[in-house]
Amino acid sequence: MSLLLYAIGDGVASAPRVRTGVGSRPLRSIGGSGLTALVSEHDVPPALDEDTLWTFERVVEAQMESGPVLPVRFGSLVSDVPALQRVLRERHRELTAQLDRIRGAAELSVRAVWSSAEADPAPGCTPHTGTAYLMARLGPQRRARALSERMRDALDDLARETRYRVPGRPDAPVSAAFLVGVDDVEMFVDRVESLRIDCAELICTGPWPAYSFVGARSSG
Amino acid sequence: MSSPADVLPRARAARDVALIDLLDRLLQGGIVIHGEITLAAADVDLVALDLSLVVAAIDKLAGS
Repeated sequence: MSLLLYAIGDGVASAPRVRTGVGSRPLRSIGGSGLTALVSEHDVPPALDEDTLWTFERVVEAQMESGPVLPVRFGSLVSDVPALQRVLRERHRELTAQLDRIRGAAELSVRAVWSSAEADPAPGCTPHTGTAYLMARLGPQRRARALSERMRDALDDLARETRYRVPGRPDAPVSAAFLVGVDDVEMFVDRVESLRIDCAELICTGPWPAYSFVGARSSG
Repeated sequence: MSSPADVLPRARAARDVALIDLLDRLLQGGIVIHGEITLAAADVDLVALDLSLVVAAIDKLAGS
């Protein structure tokens, strides 16, 4: 029997916002060192499938109603309650600092895709502006970097922190995560929806728990 | 102050469009507890949206 971790919050252990999690297992709050971990017990490791991932995500999102939560990477297991409390004790300072960083904020994802069928704006998209014409003459990586700069100019001021990835792939030129104060989420989404970039479309999803701003990727 | 859970279902695209973002976050983001992540291999449903992302994530997880 192991404990599957969903999220870590601060303060006195508050009741889970939903009753069951992955595999319809009951959720529990386990407290330690001023932190609270949300868990469920499992005999076998969780399966990797779409429904399970969405179930996990809904549990973490619901818990955000109780305050800031650090989402835990899916599939993280600890052996028992003492082992969990040891983790909370040993990492108390780091986890508390992370909670303070994301307090009152949520993550929004913005992915750019080229709008032409060939995923290459040069042959498939008629530039309507001088900027678009110049972009069409650049190589894929340079076009992706130019695209990311447009996004930065338009969106970064609304975010506390940002994470950009510019793989430059034809099907995924730019992917970005934004840590946005909850009171600014609507304004951010409005701005994404109103942003017009020649030969590219922006896909915005969220708000998500702050997966991209905690843990191993928090400094990326 | 509204909570994130209250806000903006309109920001969330259709479930299939958001799947790539879900995979990216749950499998590569978040707090890492031990580096020991164990997932059942059976019935893995590899979504066609971005197989390279899923395979890379699974490879990394299988090796940890």
